[in-house]
Amino acid sequence: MLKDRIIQNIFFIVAAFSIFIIFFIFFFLFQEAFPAFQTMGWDIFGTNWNVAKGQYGIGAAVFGTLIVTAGAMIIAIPLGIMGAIFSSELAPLKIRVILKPLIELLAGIPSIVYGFIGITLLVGYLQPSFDMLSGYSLLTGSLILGVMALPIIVSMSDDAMKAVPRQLKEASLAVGATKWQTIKKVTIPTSISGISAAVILGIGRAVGETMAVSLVLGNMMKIPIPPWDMFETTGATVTSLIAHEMGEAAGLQINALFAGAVILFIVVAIMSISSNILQERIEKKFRGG
Amino acid sequence: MMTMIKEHNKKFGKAIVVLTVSIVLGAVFLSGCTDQETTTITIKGSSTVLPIAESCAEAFNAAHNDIKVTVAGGGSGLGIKSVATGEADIGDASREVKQSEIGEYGDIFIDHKVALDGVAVIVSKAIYDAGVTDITMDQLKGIYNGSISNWQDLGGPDEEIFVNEREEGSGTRDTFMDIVDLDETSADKANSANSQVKQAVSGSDVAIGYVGLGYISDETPALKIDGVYPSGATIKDESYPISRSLHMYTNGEPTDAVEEFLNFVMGSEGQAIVEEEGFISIL
Amino acid sequence: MELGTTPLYLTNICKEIFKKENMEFKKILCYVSIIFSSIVAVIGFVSVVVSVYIGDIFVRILLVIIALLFSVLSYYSFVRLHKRKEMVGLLVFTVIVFLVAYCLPMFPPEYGLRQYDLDASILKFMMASVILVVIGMAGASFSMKPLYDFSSKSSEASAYYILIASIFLILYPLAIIIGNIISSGIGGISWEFLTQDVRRHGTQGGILPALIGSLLIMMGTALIALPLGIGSAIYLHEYAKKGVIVRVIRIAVDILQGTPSIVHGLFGLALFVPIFGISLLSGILIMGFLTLPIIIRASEEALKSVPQNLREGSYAVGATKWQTIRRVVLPPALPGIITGGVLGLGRAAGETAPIMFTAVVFMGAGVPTTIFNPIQALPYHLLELTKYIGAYPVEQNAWATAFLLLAIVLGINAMAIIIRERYRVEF
Repeated sequence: MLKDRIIQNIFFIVAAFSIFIIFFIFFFLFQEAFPAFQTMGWDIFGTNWNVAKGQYGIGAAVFGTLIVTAGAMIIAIPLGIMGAIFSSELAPLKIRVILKPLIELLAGIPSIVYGFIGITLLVGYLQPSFDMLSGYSLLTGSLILGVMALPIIVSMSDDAMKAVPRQLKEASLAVGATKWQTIKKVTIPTSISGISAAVILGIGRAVGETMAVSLVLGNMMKIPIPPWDMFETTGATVTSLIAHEMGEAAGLQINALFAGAVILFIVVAIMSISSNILQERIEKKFRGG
Repeated sequence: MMTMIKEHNKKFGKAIVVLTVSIVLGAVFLSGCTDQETTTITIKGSSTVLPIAESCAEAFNAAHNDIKVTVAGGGSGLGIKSVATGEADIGDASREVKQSEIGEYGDIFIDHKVALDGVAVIVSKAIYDAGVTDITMDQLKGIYNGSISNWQDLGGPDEEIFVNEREEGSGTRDTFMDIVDLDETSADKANSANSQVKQAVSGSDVAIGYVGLGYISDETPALKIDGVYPSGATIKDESYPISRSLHMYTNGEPTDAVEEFLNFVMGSEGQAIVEEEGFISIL
Repeated sequence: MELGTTPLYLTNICKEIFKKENMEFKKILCYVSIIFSSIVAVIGFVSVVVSVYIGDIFVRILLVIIALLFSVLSYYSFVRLHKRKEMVGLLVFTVIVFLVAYCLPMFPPEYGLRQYDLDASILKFMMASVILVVIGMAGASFSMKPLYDFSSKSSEASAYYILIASIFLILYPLAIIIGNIISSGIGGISWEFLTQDVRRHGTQGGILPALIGSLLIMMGTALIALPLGIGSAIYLHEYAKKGVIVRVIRIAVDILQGTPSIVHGLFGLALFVPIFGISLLSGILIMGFLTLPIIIRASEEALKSVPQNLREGSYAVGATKWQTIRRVVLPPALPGIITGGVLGLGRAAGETAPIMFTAVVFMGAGVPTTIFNPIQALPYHLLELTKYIGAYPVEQNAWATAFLLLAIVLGINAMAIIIRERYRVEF
C-alpha cells in the first residue's frame, strides 16, 4: 500500500511539473520584460521604435499582429466552417476517410515551409497581381496565416458538429426539414460553442505564428497610412519583430522584445483558457442531456 | 480479445524496440566518428563578413581535424556584443567598435582587419537597363528620406521606388547612414541581412538597396555614386565615398586556435577567399 | 428520382443526362447550365492563379452564353413552372450578366485603388477572372433552383454546391504547396545531398549535419517529453480527484499547448542559454516542453478509451492501482500513446523558432561531441537558405531541403495516423 502511495505521489509531481513549466515561462519572460515596462510605462505601446534613439514602442508591431490576424480570420473562418460542414455532414464515408487525414496533413506542414513557399511563390505572385510596390506586405502575411489557421478550424468544428447527438438531427428530419435546413437550424446552433472554441484556437495560432510571417513582411515598424492599407510594404508583427531583432538586440531593446513576448503569451493564454471553457461547456451539455 | 491486444502489442513492441535500438546504435556510431578532442571556435556577427567567415571556416575546418569553426550572422552589433560577453570567440563587424561599446564593455577589443569593402548601392536590373546607372549623394539621401519617391526623378521609368534598408544593429546600415548623413529613413522594407536586401532587389523591377561589395551581381547591378563605381581600385584610393574595412574582433589577444584561424584569414589563402567572395584583399 | 444526400452532383448529373427516361428539357437545360457555369468558374479561378488574362473576347463570349442559358431558364420557370417571383430573380441575373459582358471592354486596364489611399490596383485580368468565378458559381447554384422546382430542396442543392467548392478552395493551397515542393525539390535529392556537409553558403554540398541535428533533437525530445507526458496523463486520468489542483494542471497544459513557439524559444534563451549556452541540451529541453502537451493530450485520450470494466475487473481480483495501470490499462492504451509520441516527434522535427535562439548554427557544427555543443537542424537550415534565395544560387538545395523536411514531417504524421487506425481496438 505504501508503494502505491509513493507511486501516486510520483505521478502527481510529474503532472504538476506542467504547472511549474508554465509558471517558469511566465516568470522568466516577465523578469526579462519588466525593465521595459518599468522604464517606459505605457509608452511601450507607442509607435516610436527607434533603436538608435533608444525608443522602443512596439505599438506598430501589435497593430500589425491585429491586422494580419484579422485578415487571416476573414479567410479562415468562412472557409473553415464551410469545410467542416461538408466533412461532417455531407461527405460520404469514403470521402471523409480521405478528407480528414488530408486536413490533418495540412495542419502538420511546418511553418518554415509556409514561409519558404511564401517567399518563392506568393511574394512573386502578389506583386504583379495587385500592382503593389512589392510582394512583401501585411496582406501576404494574412494570406499565409489564413491557410495555416484553416485546418484547426476545420477539424475542431468538424468534431463539434459530429458531436451533436443524432437524435436531434433525426428529430429535425422527421418533421420534414431538409438536410440543409437541419444543418442550418439544428446542427450549427448546437455546435456553436465548439465552433467558437475552434475559431479562438485558430486566432491563437495566427497571433503566435512567427516563421511563416516574418519572411514575407516588410518589417518596418510603421503603421501604414491609412491604417487599413494592407497592400503597403511596411508593417511588422510582434512575432516577426522578435524574430528579426532578438539576434542582435541589447539592453533595453531585449527587454522590450521580451515585453512583446509577454503580451503574446498572455493573449494566447487567455484564448486557450476561453477555448477550454467553451469546450467544457459542450461536454457538460451533452453529458447532462 | 485480450489476447488480440497482446498479439498486436507484441508485434508493436518489437517494432518499437528495433527502431529505438537502430537509432541509438546509429547515433552512437556517428558520434563515435568524432572522438577526438576538438576545440570549437565560435564566430558571430556581421552578415557582410559572413560569406568570408563561412568560406574561410569551411576551408579551415577541412584542413584541421581538431579545430571546428562555427559561423553565425546576426549583425555587427551582435558580433561585438558576443565577443565582449564571451559568447563568441570572434566577432565579425563591418564597422568599427563604437565609443559607446568601449564604454559599456571596456577597451578589450582587438581589431583584425580582414578585408576592404564598400557599401554599394544596387538597383533592380530593369532600372539599370532603363538608364539609371549613376546617382549623386544628394539624390541617394533624398531617396532614403522620402523626398524623392519616383524613379522618374532620376531619369528612370515612372514608377515608385521600392526602398530597402538594413535592420538597426547592422554595421552596413551604420556606415551607410553615417556617410549619407541620415538619421532616420522612410524606407519600405527592413532586411536583416545583405542577402535579404539582394533578394528583395532582385525580385523586384523598381527596387534600390545597399549591400556589401560581394553582393553585387548581374541581376543586382551597382550604381556609380557621383560618377565613381565601387571597385577594388576606387575603394583602395578612397575615391568611392562609402568605403570601409571589415573586421574580426577578439576579446584581448587571440590565442592558439583562434590565432591560427585569424592568421589563416589574413594570410594569402584567406585573402584569396576574400577576393573570391567579391571583397577586396588587404594584402 | 432522388439525388439523395450524396453531394457528387456533377458525376451523378452526367450519369443522369444519359439516361433516356430522364431526358426532360428542364433537366437538360439545368444540367447544361450547371456544368457550363462550373466550367466558367474554374476558368476564372485558373486565370487568377496563373495571372493570365484569357482575353476580352473569350470572357464576353462565356458571359453571353451564361446569360443566354439563364434567359431560357427564366422563361422556362415562368412558362412551365409558373414561378413568377423566381423568374424575375433569374431574369435579373441574366440582365446583370449581359450588362457585364457588354461593359467589359470599358473596364480600365487597371482600377487604381490609390484614390482610396491604398497602395494597389486591381488589374484587368484580376477583375475579369473574379467576375468569371463569381458569376460562374452563382450561375451554377442558381441553376439548381429550377431543377428542383424551387423547393427547399433547391436551396439545399445550391448550398451543397458552395460547400463542395469551399473544400476545393481549402485543399488548393495544400496541393500547391505539396505539388510544388515535390516537383521542384525531388530533383535535388541525391545521395551526395544527404551525406555531405554544407558547403559554400549552402549552395553546394549537402545537409548531413542538419539531418543529424534534427534526429538528435527528435530523440532528445522523446526522452524528455514521453516520460513526463505519459506520467502526467496517468496521474490526470487514473489518480486525480476532482479538485482545484487538477483543474489548474489542466489549464496549465492548455496554456502550454497554445504557447507560440517563439515564446518557448525566448524562454529557452532566458533560462537555458545562460546556463548551457547554445547547445543541443537547451534545444532538447525547450522542444520537450513544447511537445509535452501533445503527448499528455494523446495519452489521456488513449487512457480514456480503455473501458472502466477492465479496471474494475482487475481490482476485483485484488490488484493494486499501480498493478492495474501497469498490466491492464497501459497495454491497450499503448498505440494511442505511441501515436501521440510520434505526433510530438513530428512537431519536434519541424519547428524552427524554439531552436533558433537556443541550439542551432547554420554551418560548422557537424556532429556534436557533447550535448553542450551547438547543432544544425533541417528547419533552421531551410530558414537560412530561404533568406539566401536571390542572393546565392541556393534554389535547388532550398527546394530539396524543403522536400526533405516536408517528407520527414508528413511521413512521421502519416505514420502516427496509420498506427492509430491499424491498432485501434474496438471495445
